[in-house]
Formats: sequence, structure tokens, C-alpha cells
Amino acid sequence: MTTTLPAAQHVAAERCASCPKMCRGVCPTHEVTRNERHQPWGHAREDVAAERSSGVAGAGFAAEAVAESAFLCATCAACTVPCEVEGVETPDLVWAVRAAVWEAGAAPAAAVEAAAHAAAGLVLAADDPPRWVDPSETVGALAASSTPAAPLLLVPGCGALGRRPGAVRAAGQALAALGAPFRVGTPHVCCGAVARAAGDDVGARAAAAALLDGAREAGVETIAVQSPSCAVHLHREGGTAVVVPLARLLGELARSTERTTADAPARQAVAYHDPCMLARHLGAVDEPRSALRAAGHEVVELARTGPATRCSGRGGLLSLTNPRVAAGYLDLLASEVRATGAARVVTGCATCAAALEGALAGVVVEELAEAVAQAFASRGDA
Amino acid sequence: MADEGGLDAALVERLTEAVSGAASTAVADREAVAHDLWPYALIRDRGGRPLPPPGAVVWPSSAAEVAAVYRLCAASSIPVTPFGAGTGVCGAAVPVHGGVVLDLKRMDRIVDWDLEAGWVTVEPGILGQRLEDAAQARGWSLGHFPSSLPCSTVGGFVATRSAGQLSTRYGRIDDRLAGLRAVLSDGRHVHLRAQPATGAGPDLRRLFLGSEGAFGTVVEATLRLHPLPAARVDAAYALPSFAAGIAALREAMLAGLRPALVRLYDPDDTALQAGHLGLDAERLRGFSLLLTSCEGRRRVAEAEATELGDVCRAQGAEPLGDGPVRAWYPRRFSLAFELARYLPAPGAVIDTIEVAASWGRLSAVWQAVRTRLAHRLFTFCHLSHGYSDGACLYFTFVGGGTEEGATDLYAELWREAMDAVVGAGGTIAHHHGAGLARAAHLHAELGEGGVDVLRRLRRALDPAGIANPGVWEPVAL
Repeated sequence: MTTTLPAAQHVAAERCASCPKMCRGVCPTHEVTRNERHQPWGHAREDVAAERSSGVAGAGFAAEAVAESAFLCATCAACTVPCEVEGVETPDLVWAVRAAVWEAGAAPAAAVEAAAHAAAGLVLAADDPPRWVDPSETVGALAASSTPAAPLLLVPGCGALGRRPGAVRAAGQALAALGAPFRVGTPHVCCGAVARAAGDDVGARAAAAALLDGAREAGVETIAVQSPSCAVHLHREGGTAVVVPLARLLGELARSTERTTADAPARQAVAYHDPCMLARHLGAVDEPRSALRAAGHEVVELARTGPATRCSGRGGLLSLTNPRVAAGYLDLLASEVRATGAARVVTGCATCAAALEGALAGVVVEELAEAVAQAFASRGDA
Repeated sequence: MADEGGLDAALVERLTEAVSGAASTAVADREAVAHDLWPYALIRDRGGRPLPPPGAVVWPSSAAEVAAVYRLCAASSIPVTPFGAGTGVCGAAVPVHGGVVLDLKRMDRIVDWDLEAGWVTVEPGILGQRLEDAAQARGWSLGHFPSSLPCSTVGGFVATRSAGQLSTRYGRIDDRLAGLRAVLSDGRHVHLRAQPATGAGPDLRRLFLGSEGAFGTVVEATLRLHPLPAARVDAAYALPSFAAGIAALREAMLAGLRPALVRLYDPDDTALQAGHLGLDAERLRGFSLLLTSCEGRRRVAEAEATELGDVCRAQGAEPLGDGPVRAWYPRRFSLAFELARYLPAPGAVIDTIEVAASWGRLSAVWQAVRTRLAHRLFTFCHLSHGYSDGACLYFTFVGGGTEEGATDLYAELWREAMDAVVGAGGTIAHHHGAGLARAAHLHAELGEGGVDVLRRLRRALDPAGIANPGVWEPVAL
């Protein structure tokens, strides 16, 4: 089978492979492995070579090394910050290469399994060993506090449902406390983000279309998505006008709550970690901080913050396909959090929160909705 | 029995042990270090004719591990090529004779700050940007800003004798290097302690500057920092000609002025830069644009900028304000991105060549190189890195022909440019090193005696002949 990249990604690969690796210093995979090929430049040159040898048995996108490279990336987009090469957006290239690898039948077993489990409505509760669970109980609890005909649909996403069910419940409490009635889709269906990360583009598009079309037909006006990677996927699949990351919505709602300043207790310092999907892919940097300030917190910044933030290593299925590299990402991030000296850290991603909790003994870790729900509920707003 | 990289399997096993398991003979890992960013190699890659990879890659974490790798390789006469970030543009890191690539990126620690002296000691694999960020966080700067700063290493700076964009004030890496540790190819260590200056015989630190792995590997460098300047005063000028700009800069340098930034673009380069810097290219047609920054204590920087302005005006310069310089800084590392955009096109040939000459010869070198290249490709040039006795000329050429003829065209252009520089009395390299690109012209540069000394040094320091044996030797790839 001859597999090639879409024209725009073919150009991107060629250009990236001709760059002096200007993004090397910010690529977390490279920072962990120090291997010259484990950075966008290295991946891109393998992609160019793969296209050249496509159609040769065991070569092209079926080659083991190409698949390995394609999945040695969390699609965290750190490389996009310093990159000025016209036409190069590395996550787009990675997703295109993974699709080619999937089409060539060479996707790693862990990625194929993840796509299958997600399509079956299961969510990942733990990485090592992978544990997939049915989230019906959490979704049911959330639905019990929802308003069926509300114009706002809350989509927790696989990450939040699997890794941190408490954050999902907190999302409902936070929205309620901030006066935003919401509805919930039951049972949980995957938006296709896992399939996209695995390379199953057909499955990814179909799942996103089903969710977006279903919501529109049901009269939903806004879809608040808690898991940033799901929001990224739905944005890419045409949902930009209706899909809003929950962290952004919480920030906007909290900011507009006039009572907060007067009611705020003595400010407590919390470190805030910008999830890569939220800050870089979706540009939601100010809103989570607004939410935290409205909740009475003083935000402590990490060394790498906003668009320069570090990835926790949970994105792009990295923790399933390359757990050791993902662990390296997490170590680097955890060190930065520790360096702040903060006793409490909040992040806008439930998956990141779950990972950080495991890496930061003695530090209280919360997902943003948990921090917001706790603050507003304690003021009698919930 | 040989492994897949052509090395003896037992040797690979011992090497792997020597670097605590951080070694690979996987084809993909070896291919990634088969060359640096020498455009000749990139053009070959583009045409599906990549250079052959080495037999293995090792990632030492300490000087002791580097020494162990050298000892093992020396015993088996296996070449060892140090590799930092692979951003060199002259092929110095190409493992021409295969063997082992010594990837130094795990040796990236900041070992010590001595801010009383203004020194920082680092391992060679640290990225320049990371070091600069760490220094600036302490109120200091290395003052070394090559356009590859975000992606190149201190080891590479030393190995190729790099210079940064502000070198006119802060010097090249030669001037920033206070001391070093190196491991020779027989595994022995050399420690040349950091000193402000020394008269104790020949300066052996300089032996390793520009050594490109031929004398062993620098495993630690102590570099001079300077306190972050309190002020920066920017000014741009339009000079009536490139020659007038050269005259102005000569006058300024001889007067003892040391602006941090000096970039004088020839008329063709001025036309290219104008749009990016908020200037009217049409109005500047035929002029040479000069960008300057003076740094330091505010009153000193302001006074220096005033003097510099007077010197420029005496050569007919028209002041253009500080806007063009302020627009330049955010784009200071952008050249790499332009190269990435153009190089993939079939048949495309693009590169930069940096040379230097004394003031009296600069115009002749500029004319000679342009005469040889400009009729074949679009060629433009800027002057930077000023000294009391001369400056660097930085040529860029871009164009192309057929894909089949691209490597030949590239090699021919380099040959022509080097011949032109030698003929006009310049030096063939300023700050990208010699590598493979300039190997054929080292004789013209150093003369018979110089080449002989270099060869003797090499034999003395590397009796096994394993220390990057391909570098500086003309080779048909």
C-alpha cells in the first residue's frame, strides 16, 4: 500500500527537516531522551524518508522506526512557540503521520487498543498497567444535578471521567454555583480525540461529527468541554463556534460574579500549571487565572508558564505508547512545581491533575473545577 | 562478529557498558547523527542520497565516560566524532569514516557560578539559550548570540570558534573562554584552569578553540560573563554606499568605539531587509543600511551612540532612528526559518559564507566574492563583527538549477567563493569553523608551514588517528 501525507503536511515535513532544529530546546521528548531523532526535526526527516519509500514492504509509514517516532510525541505543541517556519505546525504533522501509520497498519498496539476502548465508551483510569473503566456511574451522578433542557452541554471528556471523577462532579458543582445550568449527554460517548491520537482519522471524525451534530439537533447552544484534549479535537472538527473549554467558561463566569471580591477570604497562594492543550492549543491562559483569583487565590507562576508551559506527558497517548518518556515529562513538570514552594497546585486539566498528584507527595493538587467549586460552595453559592 | 552498524559486537557491548547503557546501533538513531546542518549534506538528503551513518551513537554523562569511550575506540582504531546539537554548517560533525558518534547532550550541567570573577563553568552539551537564560536570571549575560543560540551548544561554540551578533562589544567565544577541561583521544584528561590572563607559555586553551573534535573533546568550559547592561541605545543609518559604511565603521573602531550591534548591509541586502524593518526599500535603493546598538551604563552608551552617529554622518549617513533596530531584534534568529523554507525545493542551493578581512581589503573581498557568485545566484552580504583592524563579511547566496546538479553546483560555488576570498587577501572563515566545507582551502589559508604544524599537532595529540579523522581533510563524499 502506498501512503502519503496530505500536501500541506508533506511541505511541512520537508521544511521542518531542513530547519536547524530551532525548537530543540523546548521539546520535552528531546529533553528526556537527548536522542537527536527525538525532536520535530528528527521526526520530520523520517517522515520525508517514509514518503519516499512508501509502497515498499515494511518501509514507508509501515516502518517500525517511523511509527515509533510518530508516537514519541505528546502533541503538546511546545515546538510551535519558537517555530517561525511558514506552513509548519508540528501537531498537525504528527496527527497526519499517525494517520498514515494507522493506514499502513503499523500503529502501536497500545494506540490501537486505546482507540477501540474509547470507541466502546470506556475511559482510561490508569496508565501503568492501563485500566479502562465504564464511566456510567460518574456520568449518572453528574446527570442527576443537571438541567435537561439547558442550552449548555457539559462534556467531561475521557480524561476527566477516567482519571479524576471527582473533578467531573466538581465541574457540575462549579457551574451550578456560578449560575450556569447545564445538561449532560448520557451515556458517555467519546468525542474521537483518542482515535485522533491513535491515528484513526476516520473514527475520530465520525465520533466528533456525531457529538456535534447530536448537540445541535438537541438545541444545545454551547458545549463546555472539561478535558482540554477533547476540546482541541472538537475545535479541529468544526466545533469552534460552539465548543468552549470548561476552564475558559469558569473563568468568564467567575470574573463576572461581582460578589467574589468582597466575599473572598484571605488569599491563599496556589501554583497554577497551564495544561499544554489548554494554553497552547486553545489559548486559554488568562481565564483559569481569573477563576482562581475570583475564588480567592493568589496565583503563583511556574518557571514555564502560559504558552511556554510544560506538558505533563499525558497527551497524545504518550503515557500508553512510551510510558518511560511520559514519566520523564512528568518529572520535569513536578520539579518546576516543587521549585515554586507552593503547598497547593491547580491545573486546568484533570489528567494533568491526576498525574501530578502521583508525582507530588505533600502538595495538594486540584483540577480547576475542584478549586472553583470548593471556593464558591464554601461561600454558600453552591 | 559485526553488529548492524559495522562495529564489532563485543566493542559495542563494552561501549554500552562504558556509558551506562546509553548507546545505540539502531539505524534510525545513527542516521540522525550522520551529518550536521551542512547544506551539502542536506541537499544530498533531499535528493535521496544521505551520507552514510556512523556505526554507533553513545551518550556519555560524564568526562569519565567520554574518556572510557575514547580508550575503547583507540584500542580498536575506531573513529570518534563529537556531536553537540548538530547545527554546524560546515560538516565538522560528519563522521566521514564512520565509527562512533559521541553525542554530548547528556552533559549539559551548569557546574559552577563564580560571579565574583564573572565566570560560569558548564558542560559542553548545554544549549546556548539555556545558559543565557540562566545567566540573565542572575543579572548576567554571556553576550554570545549566534543566530543558532536556541539550538546550539557551548561545546559547539568552542569547537567551531563561533561569534555572536553582539561580538563587536563582547568578543567571540575565543574571548569568552577563560578555561576548559578536555579529554584526549587516548582517554587522558587536560585541565586548563580558568584565569583572567596568563603568560605561562603558549595559551593551550586556544589549541582547543576551533579544534572540531580533532584533538579530543572539550568536556567543560569556563566562560566569561558580563553584567546585563543598564541601557541600550539603538540607531540606524542609511549610508550612501557599502564602501562609505565600511569607512564609517573603520573610523569608529579605530576611535575605540565598541557598539554591541553592528550590521552593515550591502545595497542588495538592504533591499531585502528594508521591508522587514519598516523601511521603504525603494527610497533606500542603492544605499547601505547600518544597524547599531550601544550598550552599558546609560551615559556611556548614550555617549558612545552619539560619537558613532557623528562618525556615520561624516560619511554621509542619514539617520533612520531606532525603529529599524528595534524591529530587527525580534527577528534576530529568523534566518534559519528562511533557510528551512527555501532549501526543500528541488534543485535549490542556499547557504551562507562568513569570511573576514582587514579594513583595506574588505571592499576587494566583497567585490571578488560577488563577482564570482552573483552571476550564478542571487548573492547579498552584510558586514558584522567589527575589530580594530577589520571585520567579517557574511554572504548569503540563494538560487538553484537541476536537482541532479545541485551538489556539484553547491561545491563549485564554495570553491569559487573560497578562491575569491584567498585571492583578495581575506581569511576563508570567520565563525562557522573549517569542517569539511573549507578543507580544500586550508592549505591556502595556513600555508605549507601551517598545515604541517596542524598535522604534527594532530599526530601528537591523537596518535591513534581516531579523533574525528575526517575533519579538515578534503574528501569525496
